[in-house]
Amino acid sequence: MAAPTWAETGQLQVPRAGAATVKLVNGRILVIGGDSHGGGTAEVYDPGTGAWKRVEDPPPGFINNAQGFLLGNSRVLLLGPGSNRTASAASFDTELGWLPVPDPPIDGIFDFAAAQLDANDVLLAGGIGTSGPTDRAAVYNAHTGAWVEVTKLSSTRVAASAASLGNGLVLVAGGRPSLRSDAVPDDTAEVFDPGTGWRSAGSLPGLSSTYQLLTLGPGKVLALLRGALPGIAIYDAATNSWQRGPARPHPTVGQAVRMATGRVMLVGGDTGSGDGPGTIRPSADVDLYDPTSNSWSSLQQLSSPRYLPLVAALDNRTVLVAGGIAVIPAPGQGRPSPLRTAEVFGGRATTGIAGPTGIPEPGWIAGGLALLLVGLLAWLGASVGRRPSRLGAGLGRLALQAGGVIVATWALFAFAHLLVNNRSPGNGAIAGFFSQPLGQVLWEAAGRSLTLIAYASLGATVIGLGAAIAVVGLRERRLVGLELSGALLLVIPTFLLAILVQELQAFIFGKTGLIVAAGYGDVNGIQVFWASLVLGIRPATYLYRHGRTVLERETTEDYVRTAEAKGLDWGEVVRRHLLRAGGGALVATWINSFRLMIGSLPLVEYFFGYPGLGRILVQSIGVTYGVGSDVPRPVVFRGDLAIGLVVTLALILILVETSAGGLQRWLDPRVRALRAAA
Amino acid sequence: MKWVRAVLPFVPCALLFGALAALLWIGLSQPVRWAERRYILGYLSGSGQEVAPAYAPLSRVDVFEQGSNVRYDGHLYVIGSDAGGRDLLVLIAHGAVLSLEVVLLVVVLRLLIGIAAGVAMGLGSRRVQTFTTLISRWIAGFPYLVLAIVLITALSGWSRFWAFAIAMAMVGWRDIAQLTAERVEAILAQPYAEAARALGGSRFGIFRRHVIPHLRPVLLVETSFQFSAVLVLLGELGYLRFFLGQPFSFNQILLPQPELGALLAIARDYIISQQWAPVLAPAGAIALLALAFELLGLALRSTDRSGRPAYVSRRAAWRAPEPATEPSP
Repeated sequence: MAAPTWAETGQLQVPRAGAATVKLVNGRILVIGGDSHGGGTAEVYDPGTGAWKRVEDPPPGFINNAQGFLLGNSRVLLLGPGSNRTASAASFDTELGWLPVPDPPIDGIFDFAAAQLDANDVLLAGGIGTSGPTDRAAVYNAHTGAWVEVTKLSSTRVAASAASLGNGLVLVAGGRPSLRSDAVPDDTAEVFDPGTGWRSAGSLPGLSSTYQLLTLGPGKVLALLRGALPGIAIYDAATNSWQRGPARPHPTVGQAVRMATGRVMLVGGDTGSGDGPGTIRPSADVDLYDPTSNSWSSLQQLSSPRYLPLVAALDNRTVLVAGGIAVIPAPGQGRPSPLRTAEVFGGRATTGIAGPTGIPEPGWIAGGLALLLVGLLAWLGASVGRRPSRLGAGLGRLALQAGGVIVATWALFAFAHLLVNNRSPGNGAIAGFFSQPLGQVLWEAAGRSLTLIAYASLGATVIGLGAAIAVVGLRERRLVGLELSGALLLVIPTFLLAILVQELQAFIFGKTGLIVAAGYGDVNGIQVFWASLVLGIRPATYLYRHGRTVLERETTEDYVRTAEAKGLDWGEVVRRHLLRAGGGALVATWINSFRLMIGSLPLVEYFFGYPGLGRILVQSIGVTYGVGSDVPRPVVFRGDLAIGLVVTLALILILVETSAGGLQRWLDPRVRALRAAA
Repeated sequence: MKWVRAVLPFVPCALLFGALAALLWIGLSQPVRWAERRYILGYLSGSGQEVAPAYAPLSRVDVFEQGSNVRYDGHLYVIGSDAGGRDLLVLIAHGAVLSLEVVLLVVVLRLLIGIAAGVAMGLGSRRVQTFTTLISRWIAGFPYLVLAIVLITALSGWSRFWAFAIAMAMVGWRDIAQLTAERVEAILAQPYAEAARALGGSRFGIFRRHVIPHLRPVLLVETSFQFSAVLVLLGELGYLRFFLGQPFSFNQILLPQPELGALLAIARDYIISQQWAPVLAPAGAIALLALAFELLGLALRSTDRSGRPAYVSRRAAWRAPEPATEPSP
């Protein structure tokens, strides 16, 4: 079997060096920043196609020296140098894009050490705060989305490194106590235990020059050292001690990555001392460290020298290396230019050509026109002649309506796409569902939305109509208070209701410590409960108000007076006469409330991040969860997806309206008579 | 006591409008710097305790203007401040003026389109009726927010202001058209309209002399409800980051132009950072304004006797009663 080698893969969209790299749950690689010229961008590498795809830009400030962590909720926590003008934390979700995260309590962090305690907790310690070097530390929890300040380090540490020990503990080593050049190097290390705080983890000469810590396995960490005593050191938690490792084949200060096999690959870097301008010499060397044999071996060199490349392990044997700087210009000769090229070790060569973006397919309009034609023929065929077919005419009208929606939607999106994309071709947020087949997205999203609608509609119908029947049936004056609350609820915007619901969730959490909210984008019972509650409140109020009007209008009819004159109990009159006679109008009211619900669906789903038809539709027309930017972002319409989603929503509405219309005719003989007369 | 009965329904909306107008006046009478500059450092008046924005409602703070470092003592934040230390009341007051201008324009456009379509549906020939009904049904099949966003995005290159006005007008004219068509049909079925036809009156003449006078009170009520609906839509679009003015950043807290929708554009960021006043204040302002118009519409309807015809048109029979009270766009 041939030895694995480096193979070319797709080029980065933006030249980068020193970018933050995170492997996502779907196996893709997210890189952020490292593009001083680009002002902080991000892109995703797909190992399947070898293609890079730009994603929504991170918030301002995450250009260099950022660190990313994949959390248990499948999101990436990005920590970067912050200031009073820029955030120092953000979160990336493959479907929602960038989400804001509260800044750590250590304001203006820089040169900090950070590592994951476990799947959901990230420790941030030391660095430079607003008042200089700091010994403060804080933990971010993915469940609560909040930072909690924890015990301080034993001393201030600037530019230290951190790594997880794999058992809920984090090791922090190296760094300097202050920014002063004459500061005494700190060759000590300490371990953070969430239960007991910090404790010493021994020391080793030269440990202060640690530039990267890598977890080798439970309780074992590898430290890569530079400076006067370069090489590697290994920490063993069982003995709480450090040991120097074997010398590297090449004296480089490269980027290391741990492969799934447990080996560590050291790639490129600097062959010079790296201590000042003009001393950096990019390297193409690649070395492999095997912890089981505690030995190094050399691998094939990279295609070009790379200083500060981005390195990521793709699977057991494959490693991606991209970007970096090949040539460092002499002082005064200009700024170095990062590379765009990328290569994969142990993989096959790929071109990395991305697929086309979503321009509305002409197939939609062809389908829509065909449906219109069929509808027209069916309607004419059923209406003209000696024996008009009511069913045929109905189906014809249905086809006409659906075809019209498809054509109108296609025309609108084609028009908007033409205007927008001619102005600003470019990249926008991508989401996981955009890369899936259209049919699958529609099917899954429709299922989720229908679940939400079903619960909301059920609740709204029971509460709204129930209240209307109760008020009319009980003839209780005190229940008139419902009228005022109904008027209030009906004018409260849906997003305000959602905000109030979130306040309620925060209140419950604050009082009891119970987490009653689901995270953005989660699909579970808690999310469906809150989202359907918000979605159903206004339709419930609408049903109450109009249902009551319908029933009260019926009470003025002669047959009601007759029934009462006959001595029938009022409850009996309501049950046997009012509800039956008002049934048709109540169904019409219900249809209107349903339309109200469909209209609010995009907003509610967007608010809760619920991946149904509404949220995907809003995102497919360019709305993102981005945390804001000074630069207007190009808008990308996912034309086919947007059309498919609108048509699906419209079809749901048409089908519900049609079936409700049938129910209305069946319930109310007066409507049947009017219909027959027409 | 007849006048008391006539005035009584207007009391709640008059009180609400009065309170909102007073707040608007207070906000507008404050120097505009409280909506334009940043005040990121302050001390609670009296105690001298250092505080940072967002300043709490009803707090009196000695603040420093960023950039010039000029100190302003004892500024009262009636409903709090945003994250840049700017007075929310002043921001909302200035934003409300621009927002109400847009809302007024949108309502006028909706009325124009809706009345034209409604008259065509109720008075036009069979073909015109079929065509306008079909168009109206196709529009109804489109989720209103999405239609508005697509139109705003597409037309913004031409003019952001008119993009908003046209987009919001295009999503809400259907209710007015339906209402107008129903009323036109109902009026044309009345004996006096039939008599006018029998006497040889032209379509236009009957419309001018008999239909328009009966349409006026209904449309007045509907106009009030439309103000409410457009305000809510403006807030919803703002929450989805579609607002008048330039994009801005949450962290830099720079609003180039206060507008009620723009004030809500960073609502999610405020919610995540657990700052409620900067979200609830503009959202509450929109809701209260909408409620005031809703109450005005209800009051106007309670005084309108023309809205209860003995005849129920065919179209009306298919719809829920009193559709105009629906405050959705």
